Amino acid sequence: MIIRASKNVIALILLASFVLTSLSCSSLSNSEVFFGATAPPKLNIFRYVTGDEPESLDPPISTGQPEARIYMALFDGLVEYHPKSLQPMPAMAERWDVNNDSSEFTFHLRQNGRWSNGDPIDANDFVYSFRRAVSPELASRNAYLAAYIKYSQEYNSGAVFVRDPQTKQFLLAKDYKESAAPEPLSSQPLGTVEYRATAEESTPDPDSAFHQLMHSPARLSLPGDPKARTKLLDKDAKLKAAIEGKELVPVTKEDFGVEAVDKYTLRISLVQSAPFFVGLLAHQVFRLVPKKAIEQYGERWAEPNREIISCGPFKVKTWQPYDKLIVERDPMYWDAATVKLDEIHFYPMSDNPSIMNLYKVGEVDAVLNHTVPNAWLEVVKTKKDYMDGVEASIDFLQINVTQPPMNDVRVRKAFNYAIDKNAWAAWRKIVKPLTAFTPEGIFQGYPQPKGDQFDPEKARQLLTEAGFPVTKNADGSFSCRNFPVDQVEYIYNTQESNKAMAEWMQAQWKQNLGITISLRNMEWKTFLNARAKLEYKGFSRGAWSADYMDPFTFLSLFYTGGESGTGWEDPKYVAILDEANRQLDPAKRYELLAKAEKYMIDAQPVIPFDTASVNWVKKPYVKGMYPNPGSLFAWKFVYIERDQAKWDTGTPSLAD
Amino acid sequence: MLRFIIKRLLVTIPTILVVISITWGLVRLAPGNFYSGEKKLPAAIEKNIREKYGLDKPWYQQYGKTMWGIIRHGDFGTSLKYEGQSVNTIIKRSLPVSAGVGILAYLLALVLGIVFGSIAALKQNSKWDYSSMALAMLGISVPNFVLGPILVLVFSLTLYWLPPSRWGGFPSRNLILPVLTLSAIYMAYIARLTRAGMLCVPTTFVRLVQKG
Repeated sequence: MIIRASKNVIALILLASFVLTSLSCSSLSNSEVFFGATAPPKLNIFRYVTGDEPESLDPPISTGQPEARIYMALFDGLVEYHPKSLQPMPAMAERWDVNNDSSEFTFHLRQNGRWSNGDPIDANDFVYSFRRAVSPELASRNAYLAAYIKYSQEYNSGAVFVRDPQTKQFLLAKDYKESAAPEPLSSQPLGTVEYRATAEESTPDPDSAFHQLMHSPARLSLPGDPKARTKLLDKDAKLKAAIEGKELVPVTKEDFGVEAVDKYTLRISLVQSAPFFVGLLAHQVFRLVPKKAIEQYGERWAEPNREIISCGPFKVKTWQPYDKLIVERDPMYWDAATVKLDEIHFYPMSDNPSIMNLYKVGEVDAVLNHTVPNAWLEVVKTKKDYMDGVEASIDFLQINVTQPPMNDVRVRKAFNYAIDKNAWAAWRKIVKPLTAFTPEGIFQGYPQPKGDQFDPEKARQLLTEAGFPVTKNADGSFSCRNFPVDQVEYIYNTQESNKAMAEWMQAQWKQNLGITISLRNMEWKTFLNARAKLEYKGFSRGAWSADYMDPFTFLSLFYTGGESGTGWEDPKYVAILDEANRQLDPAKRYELLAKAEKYMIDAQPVIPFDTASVNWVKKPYVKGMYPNPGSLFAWKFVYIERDQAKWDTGTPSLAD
Repeated sequence: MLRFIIKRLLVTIPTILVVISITWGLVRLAPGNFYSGEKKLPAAIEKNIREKYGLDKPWYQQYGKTMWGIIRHGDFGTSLKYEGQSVNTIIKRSLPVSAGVGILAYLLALVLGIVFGSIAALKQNSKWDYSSMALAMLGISVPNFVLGPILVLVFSLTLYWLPPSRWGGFPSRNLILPVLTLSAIYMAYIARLTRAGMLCVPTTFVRLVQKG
């Protein structure tokens, strides 16, 4: 009896295993060309993993890319990122005029903009949103992106102006600050030839009191905090004497350089020339937020379980934190006719293998960038749904240039020459080797300078010149006996990929210079602190990604000293950048930026390694979604293609 | 008995408060801040954030405020990671899910464990006994973090039957694998306990009676 039963069981198991094998075979043949299932979803719904649970749905609050992608579905700005190039394209602003030195921008808004509740959108909504984004009360981490707008930093930092109580005149910055950069046209009395001849209409309403304030020389501002102010004044006797008996006037949101000229015209005055400024305006910190809802609910206006008023192509349908955020097409959207998807389901996930599994079984249609684990690349990279493209971010090593022996440029250069970046890129499989400080192949028409190529012979020679002779041993290896290895180390934050990178570089230096640099891993926050305060000797791991699509977003890391984590600063470098940004001709400006970049690279405060790669996957039936360098997608163009003949087989091109 | 339980429950309150205080202190002593990241913030923006969250106040005021909120209102404050949400809402939202999965796993473990254990005991030393006890041994010795991925590999990535991750609410297909994984070890213990209980206890009694 028992034997018979077990025979049946065996038969059943055999049958089951047969079914299993045939099933897995069919799925295997499916995944030969693509990675996993390729059946399009039945409904017109796009399912996407955008990264970890969003920190907030309040646009200016979060700094992350996962949130930025969600905001692109929910909140429009003046401009939107182009799906391929990420250059600004019209959104709420139909078009814009720029003055002659790119220091004042006038945006002409469309008149059919509406909130998801049907309320109309006009220039005052932008004034409100911009003022809120930089207000000290909101304390947004993104506020620094608005620093180009006049009196933005002063308002954000709670500074004060200084006024003479008798004459009611404000003290001016130029009278008290040495080496101040020349002020842009927008800080000078209004002229007649300020706008380009191409502007379709004359400058609107040039005579508003606010506009005249914008067009007067910059006022002197002091810290609002009495302690900080006293400290500053104690150092500057001339300033202290000038302040005596004057009244201090707090900088308010009304001083901030954004003005609703009329209902559908918005004018922004800048503190300096910034030709790239429009590209910045697609950033989340500049997206529209609903004044009414915020006045009613305060900070928690965008909480789950609340009707979130939005103004993008989609609006929130349901938000179940840690599970899903479902957004649906918003019929009130000004461009609703272009929107192709009915819904987007954003799934918050952070574990890469789990995300890839979900993708493989066909439960999601695309995943965020940097998701394919290293160990999977061998297989996934050969599939036709792998997205291969350069990213607007770079990996490099920062060098603490304030301490010997790294304060000697020859030593810094030697360590750079000794690294074979091509070999590194080949080993890492998906990155592109980099010798300069801007990512390669991202900025069209930018004459990117070349840094020094791999040259171990030259590296040894430079080290010898710097007083650390490198000698060749009998077995072909090198030694550098008097190099102070106890003065130099390589710090990185604890993470497997950082460790691999550190060990790789360590091996290169050992092999080519005969120097063994010790590695030290640190907890993330400890690492950040050590790097920011230059409390490290030698090298620290660094990475930088673009805030907007212009080389300046990389070069500005060294624009104001102390932020770069290297201790390197140079007024000449800053001067070239200033000159570049005042250029009217984009080609000339790029030339000057490249000159600045070359100047910085030659001083070698960093050792660039590579331009990162986007490294993600999308199903072939997902169309209108491109592996652009910021992994930011204008969702209204994305759709699901059911005709197999029109599917993407391979990475779609970013050209045209 | 009831008094004992109540007493034990009351003792947990100061324990939790001490744990919260120690955690609070450790977080304060740890380097860095919740707002620090790869891109260094300008000083003015950092100052705004510190003021917004009251980090510019002396530590005893911050500690007092936190503890007062917890003791007086049961309020754990605002989330620093998910801005604009309170910690209480997050707990309220997540606790039922964790508890639900836990209870389901426990129930499954109880039912299957007793069934397997009983079968093993009733058919002592038969192949039924050996196979269910082998299974139980496997359940005890294979840890969750191994069993989970194996189940995903078989049922999701090879068979395409069940979702490999995500949450679908109660009830849903998403429940099956996590509940199974979570219950395995308890199921194994319960099965062995049941078997031992059904087999051994009576004989001990018998022996006792015989000796007495």
